Amino acid sequence: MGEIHEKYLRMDKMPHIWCAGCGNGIIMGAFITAIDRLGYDKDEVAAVSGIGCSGRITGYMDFNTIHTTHGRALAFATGIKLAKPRLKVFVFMGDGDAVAIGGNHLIHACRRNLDMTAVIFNNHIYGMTGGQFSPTTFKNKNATTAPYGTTDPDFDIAQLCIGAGATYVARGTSYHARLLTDLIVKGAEHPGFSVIEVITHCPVNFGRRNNFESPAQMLLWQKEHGVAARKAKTMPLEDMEGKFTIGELYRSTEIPEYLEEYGRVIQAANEEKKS
Amino acid sequence: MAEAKLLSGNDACVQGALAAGVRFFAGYPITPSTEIANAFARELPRRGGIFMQMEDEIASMGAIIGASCTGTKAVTATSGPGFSLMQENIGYAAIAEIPCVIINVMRYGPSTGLPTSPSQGDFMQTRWGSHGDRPVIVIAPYTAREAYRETGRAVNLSETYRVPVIVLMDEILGHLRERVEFRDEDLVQEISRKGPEPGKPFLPYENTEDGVPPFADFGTGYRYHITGLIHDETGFPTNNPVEVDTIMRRVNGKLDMHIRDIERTRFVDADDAEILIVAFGSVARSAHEVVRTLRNEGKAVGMVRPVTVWPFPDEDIRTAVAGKKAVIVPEMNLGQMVREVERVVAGAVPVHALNRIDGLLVTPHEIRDLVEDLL
Amino acid sequence: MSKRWEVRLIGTGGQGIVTASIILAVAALREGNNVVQSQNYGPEVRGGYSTAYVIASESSILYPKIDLPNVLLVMTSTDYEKYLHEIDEDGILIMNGEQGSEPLPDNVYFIPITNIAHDELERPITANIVCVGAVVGLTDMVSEAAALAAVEEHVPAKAVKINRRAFILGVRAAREALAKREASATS
Repeated sequence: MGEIHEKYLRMDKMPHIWCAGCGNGIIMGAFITAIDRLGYDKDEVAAVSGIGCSGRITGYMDFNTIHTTHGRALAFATGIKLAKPRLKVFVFMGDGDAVAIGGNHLIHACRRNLDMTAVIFNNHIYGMTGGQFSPTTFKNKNATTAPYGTTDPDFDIAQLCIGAGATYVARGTSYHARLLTDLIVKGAEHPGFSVIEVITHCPVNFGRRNNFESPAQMLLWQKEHGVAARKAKTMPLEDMEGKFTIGELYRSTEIPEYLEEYGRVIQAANEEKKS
Repeated sequence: MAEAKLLSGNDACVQGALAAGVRFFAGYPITPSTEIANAFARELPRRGGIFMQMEDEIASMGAIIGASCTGTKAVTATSGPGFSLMQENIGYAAIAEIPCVIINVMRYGPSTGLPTSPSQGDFMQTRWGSHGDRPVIVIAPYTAREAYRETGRAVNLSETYRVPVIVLMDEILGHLRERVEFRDEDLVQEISRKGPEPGKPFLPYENTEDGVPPFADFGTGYRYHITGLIHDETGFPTNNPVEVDTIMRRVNGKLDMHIRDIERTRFVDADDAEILIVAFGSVARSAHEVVRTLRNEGKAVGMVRPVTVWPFPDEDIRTAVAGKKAVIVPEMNLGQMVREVERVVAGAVPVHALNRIDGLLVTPHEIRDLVEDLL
Repeated sequence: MSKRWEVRLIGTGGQGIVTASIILAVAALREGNNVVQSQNYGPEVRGGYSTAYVIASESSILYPKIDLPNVLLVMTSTDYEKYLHEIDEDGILIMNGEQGSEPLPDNVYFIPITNIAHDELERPITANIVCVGAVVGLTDMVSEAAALAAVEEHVPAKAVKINRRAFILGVRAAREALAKREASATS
């Protein structure tokens, strides 16, 4: 692991700003392990992030990195990928980035199917601003903007992405780190828009307010509530109550990748030019 | 150079941008700028470029910044409501110093306003629309021919100074078609941002002598970091007051260092004029008409027309108004550029605003009436 | 061209008024003039009110708008009195329709544009090209040859023939209206 850190992280930027016990470091570790396994040249990787705790990940990794505006990482990434398709583009967002302020960009990125991989850090809370509820906070949880408990229903990010047309959707957790690496590798190899939702833990701004005594307890919660997708299919519905599936949730190779389709536009335009 | 043709202001912008090497457009349809998107959609794929219709103007602005990170010259086009949505990412491009061009075809606002009527209500927004201090160049053409040449220049200035450049059009100029006959001086050059010096350590936000750091395109072997957080010379976030002050002064001051290259002001019979009209964009066409008519009648009236409206041409205006009897600033708003003129003139000469906010162009007739009152 | 021509065409959206104005502008441009063409429209794509403008002049055109045109063509009404005050004092008014029995002011002409397109050409869509012919026939803004060339350039390749006829019929109707006016003036 040490070697991988040296190879892919900007060690002079350590220590990172994430709180002790935060899940973000685990996700970053899983990601660079995936890149190492994929064998990508660091010069050919573009890492794009939004705003919030998750957004800081790009500063720590030794690729072409850009930390954009809140919710807009996918828009920036779309420009990068279209203008230089050779680059392997990874987009890092939090739940606020992905399904609140940037929800519109997420569903349209899913619909277009441009070959990029989105990694969504879902910690069910706005951490950097100090613990406000997000669109993925479960009902009846405490947050600074929900002192009497949350009332809003929550989004299921993976299902939202499947519905919007993403062609590879998976869910991992910060507990199942090795699975997460596998999912990122598969997502990156998938020719089209891939989404990996990562259920992660924010001990300081979610756990503390919601009866989790330690980061370890939050990881245990993930272990107990994350059910392998394959297993979940055989389980009675009532046994899945309050739980979530992990692993590869959806894959389609029927929908063409966006730049492949755009190739036809270029061809048609050139034929018209000639005639 | 070429035979005369009928060209709209919107189409002229597209041709100027293409001539300057633009190969990426992302936008969202909005009246009265939509013809720009239509033309890019037709032309870019033929040139190996990319046209992208995004889900909104925020995404459009993000996408052109992303494309520009790879070294691709990128443009978006919009109008009032969309321009308002773009402000945060325009500020991002300014502080992250990523070249890009925004064509804003002004329509009547605020809000949905009068979508098919012209206005000059975005004059101040182009300069101050984002939060925080940020640099910007704003160029306002007044004919289709100039829209071609100035959009090309906008792309080049953006590349040269690593700054967002706004081409400030209005509905009249965007939609009218007129005779355009390009001459040699209209030739648009292709200028690209300067890259890192080989063999020298690369500092992406280096405090260089000319105020403009070199830009490394993504995917060329320089793995560095871009952020909208205030950053030091290495590009990484800092809140060290000395470093914050240094970069903010460099980024906000770099245009002043090259002001003669950026400014472009046109004078019409200004030297011996008693009354001087200061106008930009379509309104300057009415003002120019007045100067032509009244000069034929032997009346001493002239015009100063900022083509680069931001940075505001303080020196050009100050010099031009010296010793005049009065200055008139006609605008299709309630008085925006007039504030700049008043600031520069600083009470030396009386300044008269002439404002029209009924969705119509200021006419030569009403400017003439005011000139004759003041003569 | 010694004067500044200011032409306004009023129609409904979808009638091709804007195309007609572009054709007039291109013809004037090919004859070496400066031109500005523009249009106003309501938000509707079809059926709404639509006005197109052409300004043509030997000298450069700065102010791009028309206050009172010297040619006003109205496709949408036969109530010419309503439009008399909307033209310049030396301007002419062209109305789409058959002339009634009442005597007309000298500067008002009725040309049955819609009827020509509908009955003679059997292609209502060509009405805008009949308009072009009418303006060319009633004024010396541009030559017939330049206008015809511009018409051919701006219509679909397979519709050149019918539009050429539309233009010629427009010019002919205009010439007849002029001749009639001269005849009544001398009688």
